[in-house]
Amino acid sequence: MPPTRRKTSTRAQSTLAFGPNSSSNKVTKPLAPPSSTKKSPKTKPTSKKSDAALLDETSVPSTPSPAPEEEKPSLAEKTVPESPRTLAIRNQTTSLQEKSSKREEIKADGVEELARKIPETQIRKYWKNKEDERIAPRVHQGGLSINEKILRHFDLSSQYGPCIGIPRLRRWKRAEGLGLKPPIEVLAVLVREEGKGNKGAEKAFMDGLLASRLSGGD
Amino acid sequence: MEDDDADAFLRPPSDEKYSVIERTPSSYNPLHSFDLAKGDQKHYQQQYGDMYFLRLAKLKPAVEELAEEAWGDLEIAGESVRRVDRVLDVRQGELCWVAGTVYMDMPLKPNILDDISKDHWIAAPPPREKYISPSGQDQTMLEDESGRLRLIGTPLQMNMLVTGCIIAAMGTENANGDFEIIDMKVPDLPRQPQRWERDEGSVALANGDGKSKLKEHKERREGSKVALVSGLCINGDEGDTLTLDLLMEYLTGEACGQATQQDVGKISRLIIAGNSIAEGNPLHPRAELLDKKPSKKYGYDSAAYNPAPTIRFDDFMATLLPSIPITLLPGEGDPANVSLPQQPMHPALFPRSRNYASEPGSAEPGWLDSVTNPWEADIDGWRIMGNGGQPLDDVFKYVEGNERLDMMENLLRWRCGAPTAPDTLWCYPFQDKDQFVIEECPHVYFVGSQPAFETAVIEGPTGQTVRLIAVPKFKETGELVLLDMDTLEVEIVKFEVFNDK
Repeated sequence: MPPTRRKTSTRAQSTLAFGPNSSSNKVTKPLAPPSSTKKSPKTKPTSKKSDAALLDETSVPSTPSPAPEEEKPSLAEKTVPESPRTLAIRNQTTSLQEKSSKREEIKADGVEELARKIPETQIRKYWKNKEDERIAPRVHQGGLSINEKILRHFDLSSQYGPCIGIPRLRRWKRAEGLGLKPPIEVLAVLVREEGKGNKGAEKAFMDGLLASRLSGGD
Repeated sequence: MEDDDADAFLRPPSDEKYSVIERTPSSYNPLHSFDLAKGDQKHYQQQYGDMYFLRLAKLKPAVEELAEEAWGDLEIAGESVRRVDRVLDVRQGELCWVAGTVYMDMPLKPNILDDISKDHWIAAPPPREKYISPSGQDQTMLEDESGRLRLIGTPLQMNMLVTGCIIAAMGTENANGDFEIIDMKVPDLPRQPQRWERDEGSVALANGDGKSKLKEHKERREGSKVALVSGLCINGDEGDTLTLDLLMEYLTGEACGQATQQDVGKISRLIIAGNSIAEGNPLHPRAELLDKKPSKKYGYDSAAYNPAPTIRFDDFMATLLPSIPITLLPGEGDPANVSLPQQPMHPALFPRSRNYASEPGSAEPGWLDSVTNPWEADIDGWRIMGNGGQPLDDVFKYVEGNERLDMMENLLRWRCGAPTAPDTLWCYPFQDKDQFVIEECPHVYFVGSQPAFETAVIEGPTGQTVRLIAVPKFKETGELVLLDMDTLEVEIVKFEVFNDK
């Protein structure tokens, strides 16, 4: 199924409100919504169910990289068996964090600060708009938090490029740099998830599936 | 030249005081666009799909702008042309235009199955010169992130297309599902910087009162030339030596008479554009390697490694370096990495010439500048871009004929230095930016290791002019290209050994 088309930018890109006169301008600290903490242990069993459904749809990448096989013996000694792909992507995020802290400190903080200030209501409104664009409700997403749903929708938006092999934050920043105007609500969700220490939100869900398939299929 | 030289030699020594001829200094400001991160920072876990996405994202706005200008208010048979966002949105019978990446589906392209057959049978089929199938089985497709569309129509025969170039095609979908093209547009040449633009910009940033210094810069660099050579193919034994020695003597100003030496003094830099060392011996097939027992040898295994070519090349450069700065690009046969962009050859390969290279980690380019392939720099204010020949040789395999200058022109007009990467050309999986996209139009574009010397000037839509130079292989033709840095005119110096046959 081709990815959903983005409507005109005026609708998808919500405006940011600044200034004392704006009524919706609330610089309140984002509270960790209780619903998401409840649902996170639930996501694991439901994700296994949706695993089976998604595995049928996802296709094995056409270029099976020989790197995971080569790196396996060296990684076998590790106590926490992380697949080489996740390791490399995690290295990419750490190196990104180092890089962003050194060079683009002002720029990165600028847009991330903006994202931090975005209120929950705006994120929910954005998601409601996305859901209203569809004719039927989404299936197999009952057990996911709204944050996870937003992130997965961002993963599958092919206009920002492939979601595999690149951390979500870096993909968002790359799309921003290319002038594709990714929605700032997604950055807000990413920043929030990072603040909560949720390592699973770093890379695309599809990436985790494919990585586990590659390393598990001995 | 003849009169002067005829009197210059075979004369008794004279008391005339000859002034020392000085070499014109070169104003050199290289760009590091193709430098890759080193060590741990270089990742290979990403896929090549990112590269195609980046290329399309960068070039789609440019090509759409051109297409909008050309077809915006076009009407054919009463129907106006509509713009379509995605490739799969074209509807049958509707006149529309869409932008995307070209993909050539050629059954004769190198296939992974050939490698597998090499394992099972004795010999693989020999590498093909061209991928074009004689029976017309090749298909041209237009692709973007939504899908693919087969293209047919007369503009395909008239325009050169390879996998990876971004075009905008106008036409309609027919009953078979093929998109019949009526017209197509390519991004064309990008913006060309003014001469000295980058140098002036950096000087202005460095010191506020830069005006007096600028004048000094400009006045000093009059009348200089740059020498380009490629395909030295040194293999350390016999036949190289004489023509190579002639080249050395010419460049150091030891050959010929006063007039020629004055001319040689104007050459401010030598650019060696790839393939300096002859191709090494092919690797033994896997079965043989396994059988060989690793015997203890001190030093290196002379059956597997022959140091003579590198030593000879090092001697060649070390003779030239005290007198002329050299820029060294790696080529297909050189000891550098295989995938584009090839990283600079390590100075450790050249123990004698290493003394002229810059210190590791310093920002200033040394007298010997070992650079990447492809490469761009500002020499005497002009933007020069070039490569060692691999991208052009790969484009050659996709199209009919041998019009190398046409292919070079098309590389610039497609705004992509290596469009067939990563399809049939090995390259690094870029994830943040496709480095091969040409963002600023060079003034000079050279490609090394070509079969013959060719040159032309092409023009762009907003007044850009580019001098194209195909540098021939020195080993075969003995030709050295001299580029005049004031007029961008090119001349050839040919070195030949008289063959009494």
